[in-house]
Amino acid sequence: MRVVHYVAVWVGLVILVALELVVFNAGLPPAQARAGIIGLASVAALLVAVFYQHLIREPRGVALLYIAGLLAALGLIIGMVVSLGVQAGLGSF
Amino acid sequence: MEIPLNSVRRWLFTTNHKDVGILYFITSLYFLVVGGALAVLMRLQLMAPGLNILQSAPFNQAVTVHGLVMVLWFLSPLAFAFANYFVPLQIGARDLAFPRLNAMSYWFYLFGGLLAAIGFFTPGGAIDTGWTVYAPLNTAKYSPQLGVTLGGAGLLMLIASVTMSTVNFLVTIFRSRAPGMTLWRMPIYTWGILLTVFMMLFAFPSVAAGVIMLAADRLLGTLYFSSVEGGAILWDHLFWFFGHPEVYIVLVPGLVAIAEVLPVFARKPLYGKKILITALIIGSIMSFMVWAHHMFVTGIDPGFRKFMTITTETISIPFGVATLAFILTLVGASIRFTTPMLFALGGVALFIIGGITGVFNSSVALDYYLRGTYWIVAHFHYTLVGGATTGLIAALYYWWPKMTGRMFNEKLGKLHFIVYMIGFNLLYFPMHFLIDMPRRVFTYPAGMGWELPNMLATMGTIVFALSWLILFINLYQSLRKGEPAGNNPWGAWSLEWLVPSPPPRHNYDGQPVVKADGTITIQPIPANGGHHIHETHYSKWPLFISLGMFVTFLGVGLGLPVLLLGALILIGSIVGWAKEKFIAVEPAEGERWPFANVERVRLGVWTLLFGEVVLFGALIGSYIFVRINSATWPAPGEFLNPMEGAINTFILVTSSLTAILALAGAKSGNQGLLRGGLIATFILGFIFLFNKGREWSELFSHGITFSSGLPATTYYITTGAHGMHVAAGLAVLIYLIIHAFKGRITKENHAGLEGFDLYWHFVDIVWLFLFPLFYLI
Repeated sequence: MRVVHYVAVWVGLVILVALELVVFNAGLPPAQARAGIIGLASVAALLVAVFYQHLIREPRGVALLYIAGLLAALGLIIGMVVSLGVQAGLGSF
Repeated sequence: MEIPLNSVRRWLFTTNHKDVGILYFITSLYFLVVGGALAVLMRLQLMAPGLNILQSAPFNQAVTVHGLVMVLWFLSPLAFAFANYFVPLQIGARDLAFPRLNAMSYWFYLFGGLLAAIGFFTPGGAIDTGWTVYAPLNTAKYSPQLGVTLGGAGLLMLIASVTMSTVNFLVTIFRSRAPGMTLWRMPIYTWGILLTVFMMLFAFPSVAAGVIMLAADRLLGTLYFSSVEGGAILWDHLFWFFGHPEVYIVLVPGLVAIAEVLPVFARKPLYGKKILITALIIGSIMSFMVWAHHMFVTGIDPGFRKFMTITTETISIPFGVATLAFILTLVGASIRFTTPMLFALGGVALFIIGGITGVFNSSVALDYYLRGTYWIVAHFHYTLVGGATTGLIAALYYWWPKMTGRMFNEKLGKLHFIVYMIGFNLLYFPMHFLIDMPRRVFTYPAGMGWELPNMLATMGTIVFALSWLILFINLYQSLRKGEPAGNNPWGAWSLEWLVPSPPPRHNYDGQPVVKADGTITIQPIPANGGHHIHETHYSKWPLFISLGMFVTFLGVGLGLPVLLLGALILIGSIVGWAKEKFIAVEPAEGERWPFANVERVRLGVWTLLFGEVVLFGALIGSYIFVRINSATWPAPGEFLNPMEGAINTFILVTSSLTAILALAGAKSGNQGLLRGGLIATFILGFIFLFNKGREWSELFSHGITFSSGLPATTYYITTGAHGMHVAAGLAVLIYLIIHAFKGRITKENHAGLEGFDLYWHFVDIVWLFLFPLFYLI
């Protein structure tokens, strides 16, 4: 990748973070605001992984293991939340 | 550094995989004796009702240290003693990918064990919480003694050791295989170690996060495990997400040791090798989907318990397939009943019993009755001692001639097997009848019907201990006057049997090549890859860094002067490590699928990061858990200033840009871009940390401390862990900047910078999630 591409990704990251602030201040219903903000953060993280960590050029095995780590972490988080029971709902989330 | 082979310094400074394997071997057996002695004491106390050999406190300490030592400092390290020694030999490599890291892994393991053991000599004694270290018993309120803190520090050093080993073995197996050694052609023990390190990679970070939180609770006063919203259930999740895969981390090497031995003495190939490997892969993945069956009686959601019941029952299938593969290997075979074979067969039989008793425990209804009784003690000892340890003893007898060049006494070996099997079954089988006796009591009343099984179990303990004595006598005699073993005393067919016993330091006088039909040849090495290349086999820095870490952790308990001394040793040793010229040769050619294009250091950093994903996942998961479990939580903006968080996010994101530009500069030979990028990254990282420090300081000045509730606790510890990662990155950056200005980072040589970049971007990714989670939601 050329320098200009890296700068373009950075511009994208700055816009995404700024959009998170916009959503935060937009007065949306809490569930929508949270989904929007986490969605934007996820896209930003994906940009860093794909273009700055060069995941796009790495063999598929690297991406698969990255995903395996993510699945393990998500499995733990989901298990922790689900174990609290349906009645707990999402509380302050 | 050249050191005579018969000197003590060889063993202190060695980085050679076989030497490190022997160090692991001896140390793990030392810890076996420690854990075994504690077990004998416990069983003597329980021999009859109302005895006073051990009072409650020493009994609790003995139980705890026995469990921790046997699982973490004996069993896995014994498996990794063989892995260290034989995995490079089995895949045709000269050493592990990172020899210094391998040596450091060993020293961290040893010093971690010493830290936990030192607790016995401190006021209040050693860690006494049970090996599960359950909350809230583990908090300062209920276990204020220093021994618990030191036990936690020992665990942290062990986790660091395991992480280093994981990175090293994964990179070695994926990058250093001989030509023709495809993944499917790898010997089964190496396959088992590959799966084991994958499990370690994703399991240990969870308990690492738990221990970090526990340390924060005990030392800083945070509230993770002393609060109702976190507490016992939070610890249970973090511990058992590690703890159940740990069962398989311990078990799989024992099973694959059996699979390595059976075909050799059955004189026929392993039945269904690919099916067995597939079954073990499935079992390894499923080991992460069953952890909450340890929490059936904690009041967790009934639907979640049902899910865990199903997954727990299902996980028995792949291990049943493994057992069938073992049995079918024996069908129609011409068996040689040597000592290794006897232990392999014994391991299969005992594992079947342990496996079957485990199926009952997956039922919620039965678990309500069986949990916390001696039935469970019997079950897990049949799997972890009967299956895993017996398998590793088979491996010990199998590989001993290769490691020492000498045979052992076969008659003593067979006597060992007979006494071992009698002792083991006398010890653990009666416990199946103590189905109503609680397992965590130091004494019990007469008249409960528990006397006979307990008496038998204690008698079995003595016999079982005696069997180990026979082993040690046999090994000692073998070293003194054993018959020369020759290259291949068993007529085995994997690579390690092609070289002399013991193997030379460089392993092979040529390049092993595996052909499609499975035959192996040793071909002359091209001039640029011969063993005349000056590989380094010694370094003092792994020992000194580990010592520095050990003293630093001691200082946490003993005071600032000791802590500063430790930090001084640590920093000095890290600088020494960085300045040392250490050559580890990677094979010029070989099998590298699926990571052929991923350079060694880069693959190592990637591997570390895969584990880091789970570490931060566990920290973030804990935050989400306590937040959902809390009745109230500050609204966004009420506690932290979103704009300050946003500014810091822009700064860190920009530092990712400057870091990647520095790498682009290195790759294109643009030294200005390289140096400028590195300096800018350092400045931005420093500003980020400075801002965080200012934010913390402001919060503290408003009275919001570590103990000010779970919002503060989770914020300080999660962002603190992230901040420590940024600080570590800055330390590496200083090293890189110095190297860049000395002209050592070039178009051809920028692997270290590439590894740093991966790490730095990961730190950026983590913050991209922490910012919204803590500031905006």
